[in-house]
Amino acid sequence: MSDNALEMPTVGDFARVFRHVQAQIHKVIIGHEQAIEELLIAFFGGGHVLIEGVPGTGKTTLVKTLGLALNLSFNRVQFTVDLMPADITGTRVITTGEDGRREFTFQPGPVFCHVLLGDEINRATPKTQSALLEAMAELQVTAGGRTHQLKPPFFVMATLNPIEMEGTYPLPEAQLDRFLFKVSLAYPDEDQLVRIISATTGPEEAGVEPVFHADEAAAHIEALKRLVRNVIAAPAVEHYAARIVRATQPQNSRFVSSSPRSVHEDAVDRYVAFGSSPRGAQALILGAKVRALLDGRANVAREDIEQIAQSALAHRIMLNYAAHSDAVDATQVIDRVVKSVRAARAA
Amino acid sequence: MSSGLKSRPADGKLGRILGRVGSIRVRVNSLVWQYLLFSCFALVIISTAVVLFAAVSLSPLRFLAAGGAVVCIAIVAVLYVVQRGWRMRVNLRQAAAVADERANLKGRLETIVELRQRRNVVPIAGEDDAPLLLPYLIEDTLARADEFEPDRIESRRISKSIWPFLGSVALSLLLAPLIMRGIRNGPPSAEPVPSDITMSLNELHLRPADPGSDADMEVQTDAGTMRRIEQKMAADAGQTGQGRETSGNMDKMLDSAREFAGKLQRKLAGGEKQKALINLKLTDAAEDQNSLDRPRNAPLPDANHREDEPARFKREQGNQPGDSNQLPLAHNQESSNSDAASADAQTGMHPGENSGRDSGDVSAKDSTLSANEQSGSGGSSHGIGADPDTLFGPGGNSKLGNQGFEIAIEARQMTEGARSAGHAYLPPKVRTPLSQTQAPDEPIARASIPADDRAAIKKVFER
Repeated sequence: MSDNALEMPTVGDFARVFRHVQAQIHKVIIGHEQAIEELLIAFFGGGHVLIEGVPGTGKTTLVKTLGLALNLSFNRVQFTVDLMPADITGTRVITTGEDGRREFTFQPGPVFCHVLLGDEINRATPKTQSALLEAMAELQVTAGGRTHQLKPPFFVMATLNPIEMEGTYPLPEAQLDRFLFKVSLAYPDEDQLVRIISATTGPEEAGVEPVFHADEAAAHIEALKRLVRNVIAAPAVEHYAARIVRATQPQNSRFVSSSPRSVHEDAVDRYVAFGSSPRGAQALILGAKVRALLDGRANVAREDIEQIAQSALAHRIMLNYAAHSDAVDATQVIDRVVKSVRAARAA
Repeated sequence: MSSGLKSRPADGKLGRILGRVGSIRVRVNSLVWQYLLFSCFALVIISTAVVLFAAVSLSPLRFLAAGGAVVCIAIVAVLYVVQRGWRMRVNLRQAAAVADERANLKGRLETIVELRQRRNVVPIAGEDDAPLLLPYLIEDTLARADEFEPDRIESRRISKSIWPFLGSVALSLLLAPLIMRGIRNGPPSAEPVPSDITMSLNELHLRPADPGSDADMEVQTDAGTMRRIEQKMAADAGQTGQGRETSGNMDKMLDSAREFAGKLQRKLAGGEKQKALINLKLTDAAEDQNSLDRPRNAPLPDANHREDEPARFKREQGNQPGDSNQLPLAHNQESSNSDAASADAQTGMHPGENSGRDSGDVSAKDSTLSANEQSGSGGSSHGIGADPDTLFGPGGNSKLGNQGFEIAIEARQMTEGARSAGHAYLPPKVRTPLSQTQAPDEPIARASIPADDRAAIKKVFER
């Protein structure tokens, strides 16, 4: 066993930290239990999250609270039409040194942090949106011909406003694919709304206690993320995830190769233009591993994959006009796919 | 944070888990084999019982249809059971998956078994490249060992398929008395056939025997009677000839099916030993009103009455020579003439001969002889003269063809063949013209016998 293993937390440690962070967030955020759990799963799985919700549902507050609870650096970027890529990544500016000489130095942008909130990311131009691609995928930023590494953990949470679509730029598929999960925030119900009113209109504001000390927060979080990677996924479970991802790909697509073991779902052939990419399978396994740890297991079960399928795959499939015509959304298609693969396994 | 992963589980722990999974596999596969055996035996037993029951209770064609259907269904069911059982077999990984599902272990056992099989080394936990969390997984799984004990995963040791098996045995036992009774009685027949039957030739519906019939029928009679039978057969064949030509192939197929079914049925139900010989006595006169007026399908006389038939016939034979022309014709003479005419046309006989015989001799008396008597007197005895009492009767009084006659047909009871069907097999007609040199049958005048020889002749016939 390597030395890293000595510093690695146990399965029980992971679940305890996870629940602690979750509880701290719930001090501020009322409701949205599933969304917060998925958000944390994506965070510990090493991915990024796209949050979709109408205005006023606590998207920004959620991200801010997460940063506070984990005691990580937090930045927020409000995406607008005139936002430039350099406004995110940073740029070279002329500075005067101690010796009086002027030189170009790199001024890091807001992307250089642990938790980045891209608010209403679809309001920026595609050029600006794509500035996040390199940072999200490779944890680095290239500016002025030089590459700058981001410090892990790096977590991007982008919010989408499903209304007010005028003047927006829908995210390209390539960028959507880089988000591990897409989480939807719905309106709170009446009880939750009453609690929100009570908590936010009183004289005291709810305080969030950081789970980690600032010095060791990043290290602890990275250790937890390594533990996630060490969760065992049996080959049969990996095949199960692969089968689900392949089942989202329509048969009539020229990008899909035929396979005798593939599961065909009529809804996919009818409503899906493009299915999930291999990143979808990675997202399934990573999310399932976090779920397994939360359940006190060191192995991934098929149930974990099924529970994570909606969040991991729904934003990765592109529906066609027939789906829009029939008012079929991606979650319905994913449901059908999971049921078909489960039934095929049982048979 | 404590690590807790430094200590590796002993090899015995992994072995205990795998051993328990192996026990589960053995138990599950045992149930699968029981399912295969019990289900197949149940199907074979129930189908055999049904086929045997059909063999002793149904007619050949129905037996062929029902038995074939039962056998086909049984074969398909056995194939389905074998295929299903084959799929139900589990290997070690599948047994682990079954245990995971039933004990709600969330894939723990399956993961361990898969890792072991992938590495093909039992002590995988001791390897350097073993998964970091494998020791935790093994410990965690072993801590739940009680949950995946073979008795908890699969508590049954006997497959539930034993119930269909026992049910089939019970049903077979219920059918056994019926089957045994059927085997003792032989294959079913439409109605009990008496051993001795006396019928008028005009009443008799003649047809050639089925090709599938293995009864060795033999008709022994004189030439005139044979001609009469042939004419009647030809007449009957002419009436239904057109329909038979169109359905000849179907008849052949049906006959073949009947033949096959009958043989199979006799083998299954032991019908060979149940065959009885029938003495069919034919009369060509209509004087016996009782027999002539009786419908064709009317019940036959009882055994005692049948036993008296030869004696009664003898008595009538002795009384009737002189009264033969006075007997009324029971059947429609016109139809007989038309039948005979058509028969003549087919057989090549001269209409005059036939019509003269039919019209003039239709009032001929019937005469019956037992089969033994028939064989003793021969076909040319013409009735009179065979009996020692009438051995020296008045010569020249008898007319050939006008005498009553009796033929004995050695036949067997037939339950297969075309008797119950509407169509019968007819062999192709072969028309053979009479020889130019052949003289028509004429009675030979009885010669006078010298008085000295009468005692010796009478002594010979009395012997």
